[in-house]
Amino acid sequence: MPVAATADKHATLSPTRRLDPAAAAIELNDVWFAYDRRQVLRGITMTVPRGKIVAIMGGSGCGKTTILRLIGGQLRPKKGKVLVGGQSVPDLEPDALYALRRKFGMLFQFGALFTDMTVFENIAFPMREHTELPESMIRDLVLMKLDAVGLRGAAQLMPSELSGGMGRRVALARAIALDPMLVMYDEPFAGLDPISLAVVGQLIRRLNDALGITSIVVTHDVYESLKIVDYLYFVSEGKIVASGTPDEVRASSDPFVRQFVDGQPDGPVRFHYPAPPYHKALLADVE
Amino acid sequence: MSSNTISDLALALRRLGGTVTGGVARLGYMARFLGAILWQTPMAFRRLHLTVREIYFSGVLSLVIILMSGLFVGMVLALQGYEVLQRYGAQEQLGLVVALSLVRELAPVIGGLLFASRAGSAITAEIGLMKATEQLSAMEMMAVDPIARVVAPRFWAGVVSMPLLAALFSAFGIFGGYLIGVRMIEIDAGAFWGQMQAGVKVWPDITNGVIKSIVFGAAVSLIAVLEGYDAKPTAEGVSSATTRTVVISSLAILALDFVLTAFMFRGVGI
Repeated sequence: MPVAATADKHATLSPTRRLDPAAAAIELNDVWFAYDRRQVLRGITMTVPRGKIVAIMGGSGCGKTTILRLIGGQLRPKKGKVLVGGQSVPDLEPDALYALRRKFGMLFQFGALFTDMTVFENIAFPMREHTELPESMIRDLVLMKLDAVGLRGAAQLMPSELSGGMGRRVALARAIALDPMLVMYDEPFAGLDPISLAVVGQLIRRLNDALGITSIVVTHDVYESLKIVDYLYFVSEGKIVASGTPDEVRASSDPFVRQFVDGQPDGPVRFHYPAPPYHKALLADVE
Repeated sequence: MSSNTISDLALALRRLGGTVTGGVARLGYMARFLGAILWQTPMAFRRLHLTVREIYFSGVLSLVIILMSGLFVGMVLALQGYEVLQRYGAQEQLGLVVALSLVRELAPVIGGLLFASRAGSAITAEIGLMKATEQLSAMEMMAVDPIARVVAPRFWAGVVSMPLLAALFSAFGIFGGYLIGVRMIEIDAGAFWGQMQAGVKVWPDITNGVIKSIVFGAAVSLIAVLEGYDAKPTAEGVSSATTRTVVISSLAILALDFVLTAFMFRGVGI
């Protein structure tokens, strides 16, 4: 049975259910996208309400990061609408797109810190590029951001001197450097130790509530995201197969959601990439 | 003619057509990329320290290889030149031969080739790695155009550095020629410098050399930044982009040198 069809059976976790579009900061409507011939997204429809934290979950390679890149205007959909604050992102002129991006913050999957700059300069970079703030104020702001992620003492280190988890926390500090209206987090919890993981999770929630920003979190970490997000979308094979609030997800009997939340090897999601039968591959030489 | 032969011929023609149209498309892409760099140049020059920093990386850090090569090329020129000139009793012309060879031809060309392998490859590798580690994407998402912030400063640094490096190459080459000609072979120093002063003209000799080195600097820098920006974001992609920069830049320098020389010296009895 197709995954989408199984999800349809559950009233609380319908893939087609949408949040109130009137309050939407971001809206994707029947979005299709392909890299050359590889179809990645197949009719994604989702709404991210203003001031909320929404998680996008799914297996590796299911198109989660592609959704973020479409929202950021780095990719253009083959079909469908991508609206941010009511503006159609693919139709924006370069100047308007850059003006929109000034309101964004993005944490990249592998940090993407500038390797020729210190930690301090990395965080000061967007401030120096987009503001006329005096250097003394930039210094104070950078130290505040670094303190929030627990790395004030690492300000003068180079990115090559940081561990993977520290680099991610610095990238998080940089993503929120200009107090953006929308922050997109691509795997914010990957590679973090349990203490950092809890701190970063709480930081995302606190920032969201204190500044009234909208957040999208792309993650595999079910338990951490259930603690902090307001709504979840589950993506599989380029489609949204289920969605709901954390409580609905916890209570769900949807096979896809259960497999994902409980980490079951068997279920609607295949662990193995499509291949001929195992015994045939092993016996190919003998035959 | 059998149908197999016809289909082989059609396939060969299709491949040839694909290669030609691919090459033309690449040239068009390069022209558009150059247009984008020029468009973003005012923005890049607002942060002049970035270009100055790249001049240090491309120019100052290339000094050792340029100066040492210039010295040895000048010394070899003096040895070879003296051997030929003395046959005709014209050894006092050695200074002129060394200076003209360097200023007109060898400094821009050899300097350009060395610049392509030392600085061009480094620029490609740096930009390619920035792309592979999503630093360029991060910049875009921070509403900072990587063409203005990363590409244009490196391009202009190459354009500025190359004529300066070529001038230093010539100066050290002439010094090398002096060491061999005057100090070792003991040609009269007055004749060595006097013939050079009388025979080397600002126009066309020095000016043409400077024009060549500016053109080569622009060509190498454009190829280097384009290959880096367009590299596949993998270790293998960056590696092959770096190789392509050196190969294409070297061929471009030699081809452009022929074209420029043909234009510059068309009125001097060729």
